Amino acid sequence: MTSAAATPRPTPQVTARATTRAGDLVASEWIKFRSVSSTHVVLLTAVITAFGVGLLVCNSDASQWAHLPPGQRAAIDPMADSFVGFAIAQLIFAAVGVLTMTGEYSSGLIRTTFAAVPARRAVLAAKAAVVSAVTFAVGLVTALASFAAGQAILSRQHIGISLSHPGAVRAIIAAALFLVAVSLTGLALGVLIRNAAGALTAVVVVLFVGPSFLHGTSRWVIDIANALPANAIRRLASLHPWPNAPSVTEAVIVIVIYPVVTLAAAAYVIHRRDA
Amino acid sequence: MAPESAARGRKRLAPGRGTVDRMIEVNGLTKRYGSTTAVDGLSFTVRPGHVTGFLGPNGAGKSTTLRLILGLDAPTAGTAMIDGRPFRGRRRALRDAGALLDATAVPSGRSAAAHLAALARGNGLPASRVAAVLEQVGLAAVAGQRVGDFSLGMKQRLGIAAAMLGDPGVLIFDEPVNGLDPEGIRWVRGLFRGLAAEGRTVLVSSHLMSEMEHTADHLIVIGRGQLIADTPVAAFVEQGARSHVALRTPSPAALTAALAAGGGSVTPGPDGLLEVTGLTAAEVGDLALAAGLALHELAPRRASLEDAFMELTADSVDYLAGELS
Repeated sequence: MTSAAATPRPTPQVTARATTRAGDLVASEWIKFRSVSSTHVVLLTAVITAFGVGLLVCNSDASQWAHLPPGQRAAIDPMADSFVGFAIAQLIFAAVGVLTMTGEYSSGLIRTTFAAVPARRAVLAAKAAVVSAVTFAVGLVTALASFAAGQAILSRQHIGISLSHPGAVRAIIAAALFLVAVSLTGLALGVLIRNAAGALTAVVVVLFVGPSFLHGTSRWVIDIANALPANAIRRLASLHPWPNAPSVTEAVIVIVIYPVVTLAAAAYVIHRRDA
Repeated sequence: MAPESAARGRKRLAPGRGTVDRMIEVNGLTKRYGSTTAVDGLSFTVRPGHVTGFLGPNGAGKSTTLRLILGLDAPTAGTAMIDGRPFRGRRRALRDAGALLDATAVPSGRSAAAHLAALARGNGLPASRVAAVLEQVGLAAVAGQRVGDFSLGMKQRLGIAAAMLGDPGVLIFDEPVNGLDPEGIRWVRGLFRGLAAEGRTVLVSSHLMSEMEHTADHLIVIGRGQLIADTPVAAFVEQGARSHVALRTPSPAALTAALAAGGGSVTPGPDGLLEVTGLTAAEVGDLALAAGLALHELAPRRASLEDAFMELTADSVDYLAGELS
């Protein structure tokens, strides 16, 4: 103790800035997010996929419209056509969430992060905030552009709809929020599995493999299918619900419940586990 | 005391923290992974104003102990405190303690400046600290380059910069010398001594004994997760391998008898030398003169830290080998 009292003390060169701590952590995660060039490439790929596939489908339906019999014309849902690309792009948005977390685990950087900010749940919340904000902004712009461009093409055959059409605005917002839900689920799975390949596999099973096996008319198959995100977003982005489709409320609950449950599990695990 | 404390700013004025400020206290610390015990009832205190070397053979539990101190891993039993409280749960920890744990754990796609800016921002530190620490470690010129393109030595410097970002009272470095060139090693020794001279607590782990001899004032040596020594460097050398006096004489038999009678213990050394323990060089010279025997060479030999370390950790290393076989 005497030696401690005798030694000169360091002069503080650093003074605290008067910003909120949560804001600091979000700003920190935003710096991390935008300072890796691969993130930009992945996001751009997602946007091109979502926009491009929707455009191709709308163009295909518009060019075949004149030759289609009335039965097949009735099966075409102009609004759903605009958002077909989102069904593929969702995987890339999930990957954005996954990589935000697993990148730190695979490099070992997570220990630097947690040694600097030992309040781990606050770090997770900040990462979730950044991923949500970016995904929502990019998703909303992409959804608006996909809708506008797709409906413009379909309008050549007078089957396009306008923004004022019932359900159109809801579909656009739902598409953006769906991407937020998917990327947050990816982020949470990244925490739980800590490995990009494993977490992405889990995402693919839930988003793609599950729905592709669930075709049938028995009640339990329909229930499970309606509990998967794919049917939920399909319902919200369609003008005409199909038989046994979930209600709008059910669809919204399904979309929200995946990130909520997985993030809760991630928050529990991230606090208890050795880093 | 009071004016000094006031000068050190708000964050270290929290009540009840005066005596434990900047101290690392480890008490009965134990970490088991299944049936393997990595850290076994470890207790020690690291005090400010010194460079403390944290030594042990590979696999002794050094890195695990450092992770436990930083709250990254949870102990099976015991406690680890910095400033008198656990590290876990703090939000702005860089102001309390900075650590370099693994120089290769870096974001390869990010620039050095962006990496440090993210850390600084998360702890509410001004952006000016990033430029300051980059300058301090000599990386200012490559601040905008991808960290993935850095050499191991540059990554060590980046890790040291990150540890110093919050201007903390406690600094922890795990094997910081790996990958540094001779100029870098000289620099890092001076840096650690300077940080300690400013009144900070500096804990540096290494498996290289020779490195600690030039860097540390105090040593904590562990083997198989247990404390072997907690001592000033000089005392460690004394305690580990005894110093001896080397001499050369034309009449070894007679001198051996004379020195034995005087309380010394003589063993034949390499190259015709005799090695004497239990007597100083002056006492050996006096005894030879009294016996009328000629000395052709007389030199005190100090055991190196390396020797002392090998001697002290031999048991723990042997035990490990025995257990595995």
